Amino acid sequence: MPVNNEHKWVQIAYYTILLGIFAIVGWAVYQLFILLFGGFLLAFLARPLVDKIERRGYSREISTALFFLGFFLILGIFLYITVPILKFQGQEAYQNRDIYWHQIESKFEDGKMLAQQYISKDQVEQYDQKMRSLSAEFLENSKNTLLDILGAFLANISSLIFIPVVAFFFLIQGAQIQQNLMKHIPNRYFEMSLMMIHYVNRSISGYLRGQFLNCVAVGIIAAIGLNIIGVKGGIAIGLFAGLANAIPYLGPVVGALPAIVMIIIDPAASSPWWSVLVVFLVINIMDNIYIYPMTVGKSLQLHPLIAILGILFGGAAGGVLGMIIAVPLISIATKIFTVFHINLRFYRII
Amino acid sequence: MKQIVNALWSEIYTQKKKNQDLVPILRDVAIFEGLTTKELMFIGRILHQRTYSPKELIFKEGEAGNGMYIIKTGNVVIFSEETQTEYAKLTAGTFFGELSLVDGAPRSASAKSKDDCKLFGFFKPDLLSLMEKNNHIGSKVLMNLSRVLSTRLRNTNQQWLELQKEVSIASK
Repeated sequence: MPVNNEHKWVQIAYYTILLGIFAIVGWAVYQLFILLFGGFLLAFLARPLVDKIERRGYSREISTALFFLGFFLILGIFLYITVPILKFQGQEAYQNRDIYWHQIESKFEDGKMLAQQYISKDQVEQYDQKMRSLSAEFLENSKNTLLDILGAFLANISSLIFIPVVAFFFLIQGAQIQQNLMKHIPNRYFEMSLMMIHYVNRSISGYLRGQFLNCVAVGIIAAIGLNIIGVKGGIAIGLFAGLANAIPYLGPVVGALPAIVMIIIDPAASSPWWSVLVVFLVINIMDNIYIYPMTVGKSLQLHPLIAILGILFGGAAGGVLGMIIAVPLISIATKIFTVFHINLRFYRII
Repeated sequence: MKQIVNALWSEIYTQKKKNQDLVPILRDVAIFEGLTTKELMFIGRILHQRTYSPKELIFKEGEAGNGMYIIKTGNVVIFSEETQTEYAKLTAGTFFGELSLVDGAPRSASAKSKDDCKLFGFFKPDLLSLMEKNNHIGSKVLMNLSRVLSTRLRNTNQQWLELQKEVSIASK
């Protein structure tokens, strides 16, 4: 590019300021990542409903406002119903902690007695010490993790309130923002980019909405099922099972484990431990036959081996959260790559 | 606070003004025929304005096609790169590439700007979104599009018949 010496210093100043602005914007996006990502995700999930309201003849602004009215109403009712139950179940678990601990001790002693029939007493004592230290370490880690999550949640609660505000603006101005961004794409790649965004948008939004609905449906059914068989803390465990259901193949196991532990350590449990397995088996069958095909469908299904490797990698990289988001991320990345590949070939660029 | 409100209002007002400027141009485009001013303003919001330098390629023959272009200012040449034939010279207010809105088949010819051009792009995702969000406008646009395509087909048939007549006269 030819440089005009007359304006050299103006150009240097201009590009320095531009770079500074990019750096500040980049830093702000990094700082507000959760807020922006949460808002974007909420807007993504809400868009079809807002579109549906808009089709009835309301303006985009009114449709978005009506959506949020309904959203907060449903969220309010949900919290109004679940928070007291969760609070009661939490208090109950806290009050009964000695009973549960005693139950764990007695199960442990039973196990030791059984083990002594096969191995020496010294070995059993060795394993006992090892198990106790591992359990204490696990409990300490779990407590710290829970406190960290709670702390992060409380520290970011003010930001969380802004997520719907960000989503509101994304919903109203989303198309405009996309159109303004498209203006900066060179003419040669414009049409292709537009088609890519269209295909990626359509398949990913369907997939994310499907996953969300799938998790909600499984969570509600699990909460009801666990309450029916009398698992203490059934609502909280059911909701966790719904969230864990986002992990393919391992999700139902991860979701069922806390319920099995709870029913074993609860001396007042009215059902045997295997009733939890029955509940999760029924949920799994319902999910595979009816819920998953209806909500997510087959649009972004991965090969089972890739999914399992993805989960293992996600677990190693980011713990439980990594496991949950690994498969959706791989599915989305695969879809984006496929769309890019097809379009680049279609437009004779590769 | 007052400044923010003013800035927001001026943004909305500028956008509205821009869309109003588009209305006279869009009114003369066959596929937007019969649309009210409000509906044309809505269309104006979803169109993509693109600027081309002289002799810049707009699309290439054989490439995937997914939409049409309306010429706001400047001139466009439709040609074949293979045979080096110029099919048409288009001026402001006309449109091209509308077949791709329907079939998405490869472009049958190339298009390039003759001079500085401003074009409006209307693409398949825009039409689909129009049909989903505002099916009243969407159905009007689709009806107009069908009319344009049927007129083209009728003209082609007519030309073909005339050509056949000429061939039969010449062979006699």
